Amino acid sequence: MEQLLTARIDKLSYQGSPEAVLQNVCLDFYPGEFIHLRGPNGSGKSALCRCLAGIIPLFESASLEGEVLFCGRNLSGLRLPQLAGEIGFIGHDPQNQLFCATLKEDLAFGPCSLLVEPIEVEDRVKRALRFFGLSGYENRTSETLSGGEIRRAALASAWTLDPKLLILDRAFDQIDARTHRDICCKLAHMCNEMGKTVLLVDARPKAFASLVQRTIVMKEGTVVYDGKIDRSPAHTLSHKTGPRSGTMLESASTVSLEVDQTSTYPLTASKRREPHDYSIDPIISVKGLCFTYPESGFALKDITFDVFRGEFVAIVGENGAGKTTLIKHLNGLLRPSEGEVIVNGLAVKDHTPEQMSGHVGYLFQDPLGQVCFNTVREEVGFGLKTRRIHPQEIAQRVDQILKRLDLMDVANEHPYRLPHGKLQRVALASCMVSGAEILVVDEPTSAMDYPQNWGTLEILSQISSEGRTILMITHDQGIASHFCHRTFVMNKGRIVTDLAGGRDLEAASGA
Amino acid sequence: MKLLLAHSGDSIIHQLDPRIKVAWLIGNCTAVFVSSGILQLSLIMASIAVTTIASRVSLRIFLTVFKISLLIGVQLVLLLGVLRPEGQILVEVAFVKLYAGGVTAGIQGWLRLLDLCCLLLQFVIWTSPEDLTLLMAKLGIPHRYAVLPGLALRFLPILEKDLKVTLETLQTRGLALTSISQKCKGLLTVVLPLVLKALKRSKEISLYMELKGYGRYSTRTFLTALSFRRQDWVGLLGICSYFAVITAWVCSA
Repeated sequence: MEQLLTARIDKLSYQGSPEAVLQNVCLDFYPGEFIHLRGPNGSGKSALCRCLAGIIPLFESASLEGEVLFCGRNLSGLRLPQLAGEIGFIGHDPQNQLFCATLKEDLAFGPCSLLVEPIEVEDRVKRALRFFGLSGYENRTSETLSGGEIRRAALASAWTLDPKLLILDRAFDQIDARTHRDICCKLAHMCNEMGKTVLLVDARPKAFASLVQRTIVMKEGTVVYDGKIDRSPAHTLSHKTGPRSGTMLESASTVSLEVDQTSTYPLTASKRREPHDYSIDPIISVKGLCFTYPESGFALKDITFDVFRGEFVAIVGENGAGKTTLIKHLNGLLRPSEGEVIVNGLAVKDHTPEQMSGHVGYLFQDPLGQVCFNTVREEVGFGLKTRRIHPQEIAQRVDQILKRLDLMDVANEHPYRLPHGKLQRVALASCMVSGAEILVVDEPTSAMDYPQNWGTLEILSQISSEGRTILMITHDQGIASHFCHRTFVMNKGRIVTDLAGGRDLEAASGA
Repeated sequence: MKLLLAHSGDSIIHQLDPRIKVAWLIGNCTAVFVSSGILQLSLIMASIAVTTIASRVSLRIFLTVFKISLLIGVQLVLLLGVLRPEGQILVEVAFVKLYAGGVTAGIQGWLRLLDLCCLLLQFVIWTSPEDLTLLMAKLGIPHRYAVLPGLALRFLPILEKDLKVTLETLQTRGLALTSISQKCKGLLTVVLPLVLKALKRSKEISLYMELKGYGRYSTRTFLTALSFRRQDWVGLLGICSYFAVITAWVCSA
């Protein structure tokens, strides 16, 4: 079979940095392949994706030694718009991929630029909306979509270009488990039936493990494994014949550790939380909470729950179920139209978010939006500075939290320079540093690789054991089941299930 | 940036051909510059208010513009009142005299400014970015550039969303943003990150535009096309009658 894309990258380095981001990468991609690209944070996955999509060197300047050929044409001799309709690329920041007034216009922008006839464009838009579960969203603006819906919309906007190769660089972060699995099934179908090639960078391989035809593992800027991974228990990578493109493999043991770790959490009984003591007074009490967004009409309906001191509670549910809207009521960012929210004995409606900040630490879904300062140290210390704490104590407490979250090595870096996983940790550190009794965290590990993810959850778990209360939104039911005392399942603006210890979570959420 | 999202309204005026809206805008702007009386300028203001209400958009949308223009207007009235010695002396404090002619000129200047701002805002509210693109293309501007004003309009609400998120972020970390002075202080904290975010975002958006084929061809297709319907002819007739009255009045004054 003829190659669709060939990459022979001897070395890739960014300007001003002698360090190679990629080296000795030798890969061939064929029509109809569904490929999973994996590896720890900072291993060069995103850089490779950008090279394969032509973004490097056609849009971003970098020193690229080697070549990337698409259908025999060297990408460096083309202009980026010439690749539209051939190679589709979706990055991890979906907001920037939607720049038109309505979703319909966003989906139509690509085909219209490629002079596709309006009737055909309309048809593609309709099919894409249906494919990604967004029918009826045509006239919505991206501001009115939830985090997961924006990601699906970004996927749909690349889909309408009908590319031969679709590169998805963490495009499924923050997409709920069911939709994640559904889209992966559809992508696999697209590969099998339509001969499309999909390259997927994703930290939740469980959803598509059985669908993937080929796995590429990267480590320290190079490909250490390229082939099919058999998931039978007896299997080890040493049984493999090696990469088809001739890349040198590292020792099988190193690679197998990498691959096995990212596949799932160790589901040992010791990680399950002990039942919590519910005889004490709740620290968070929500009664009959109702709220409606005037723009989209989305509503939270009659939400009632209690959370107790020291509890670690997960909130799960499909995109747009109202999870983020709900937690924004806990520190006064949103005000209920009906009902009351009592947090640590305070009626939230009578307090401003800054007054609540001493009681509730809040981590936003998008850590990039949270960055306000030029160094990680300043960023983390800001919450203490607003409380007029002595600079020496601020420095001490910032150091403590940076050490705890393994961020000391980047303390003086600009947050924008950090990989997304580390940036997420910085944002978490900024909300933890004040020592608030309650932590409300919105998908704190969505961009992290396995070791960082596990480490962060261990820390949150420890904090909960120390008596602080944590509410966490997650799409990873493994996390909810094995780290949290209780799980709220949300659907269409309501809490439909309140489960202890993550029991029957998959059945309850319909996943 | 709710005012820039108001174009999603479905009133008859919203649905009019953008050329009618441009005619309304240009005609009124010309009238604003040609008119010299406070009454004429007030009439234009009244017609803006009436048409805005007719398009089912609340007049509150002009409140911010009104406040800002009032701030400038007061300064203008005082400055012209003192520096333009025409007509009666209205007030005399020490050696400073406020003349009626200068005050009238100041009020006219303020009304002109307010009329122009409200007209521009009204046009933005009534015209969707897509309509604006179609209009630019119809006016013969190359398609590559015709899409840009619409995208620029779209960028403003995104910027406002960024500002909101940044302010929320700072609030959740304890920065007080309740009083005006606190908000001003907070604004200083957010200006730099907001500019950085805007630059980063504009770079990313231009990347995704190119990935979606922007600039591959000198032309592009559109989902809809501009065409004059009966309601557009009625609208054109309406604004022609309105401008005939205005012209007659200006000429007779």
